[in-house]
Amino acid sequence: MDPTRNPLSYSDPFGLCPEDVGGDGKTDKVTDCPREVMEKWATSHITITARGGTDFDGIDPDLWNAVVWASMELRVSLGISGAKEGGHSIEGRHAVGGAVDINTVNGVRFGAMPFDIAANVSGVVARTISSFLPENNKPIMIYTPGSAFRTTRPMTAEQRAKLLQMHRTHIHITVPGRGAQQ
Amino acid sequence: MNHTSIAAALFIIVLSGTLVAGCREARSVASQEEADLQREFERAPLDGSDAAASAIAGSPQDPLALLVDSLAKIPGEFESNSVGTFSFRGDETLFNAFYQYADSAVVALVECLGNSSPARATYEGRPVPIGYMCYSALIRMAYPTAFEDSPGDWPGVLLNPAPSADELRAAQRAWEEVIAQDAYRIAFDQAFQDVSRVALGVGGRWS
Repeated sequence: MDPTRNPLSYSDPFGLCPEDVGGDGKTDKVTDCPREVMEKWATSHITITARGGTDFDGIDPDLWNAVVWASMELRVSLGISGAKEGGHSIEGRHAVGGAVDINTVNGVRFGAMPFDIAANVSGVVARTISSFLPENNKPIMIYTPGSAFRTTRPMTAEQRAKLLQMHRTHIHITVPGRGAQQ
Repeated sequence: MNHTSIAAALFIIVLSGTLVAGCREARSVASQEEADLQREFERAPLDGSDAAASAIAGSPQDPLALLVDSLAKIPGEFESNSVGTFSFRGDETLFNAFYQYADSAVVALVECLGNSSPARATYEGRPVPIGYMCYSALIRMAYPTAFEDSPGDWPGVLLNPAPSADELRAAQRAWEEVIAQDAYRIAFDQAFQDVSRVALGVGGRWS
């Protein structure tokens, strides 16, 4: 099944979906899960850790779906510390709903994990989210405690080191939005 | 005033004197114990869990101030890691004990950030500045929202565990500005918003 399929416009009549994420167990693809199963999973496995809350209404739908699918695929809870909101730098695209920050896995903060573990776990989560994003909306930035990647311009070793330190607590993922020049 | 009244008054005066003396003695003993405890703490090299436990158990000193002071005393070593930053080899418990004090901890750690006195922890065999220990604790709990994704030349990032006094002061000033503008975020682990309200809303996330 195409992972970019909008779960609202498609609902599998047989509810095909892995059993341990709430489906009937007839397939092992979380992207087969109907909307209701995704919603139920998100309600119990996605936590908003942003003090004062954050705005999800305008966030890129591909990005949100990918976060929920990644949570289902890895069978972990994720804490969202930032979504659509002001106060961030322009290129991070938080203000236009093109970015998400994730700071906990199963309730454990990356900042509280030893570096090697934080780097490893955050890398797995970020790569999984990226894998569920459609080809025309792949991340242009992924910053984690252990890796710094961006497509927009080359990065020096010093810039990378700074970005890594600024993301010791969280994963940042920016998508360009469908139709944007990549 | 009859004899009975005089006797009663004298009894009260003597009793008060005894109580005051007793209280003074008790206070003196308590002060002595506090001083002994403080001396013992200052003498002993701590590991992170000792310091965190001691602070949480309620010490005569403000627990947050005690945690900051303890950063100078934990043994360990900073090493370059595979991605070009620096990892702490030692007990990391203390670095994470600040989180429970949220904004107060951010302020306290930034106050300490400019401290160039040597800590017990080392980098390449030399003591790192206490300010760098505070920086290491700070970036495990907070980040400046305006600079996190494009730090550029922002001086709030320390690139290695041996910053100069000038670099420490510059980093401190940069973070003080961030605090003054309330332009930082603490990476909390508790829920602040109900996802179901957003996810299930008509015209919301799933449409």
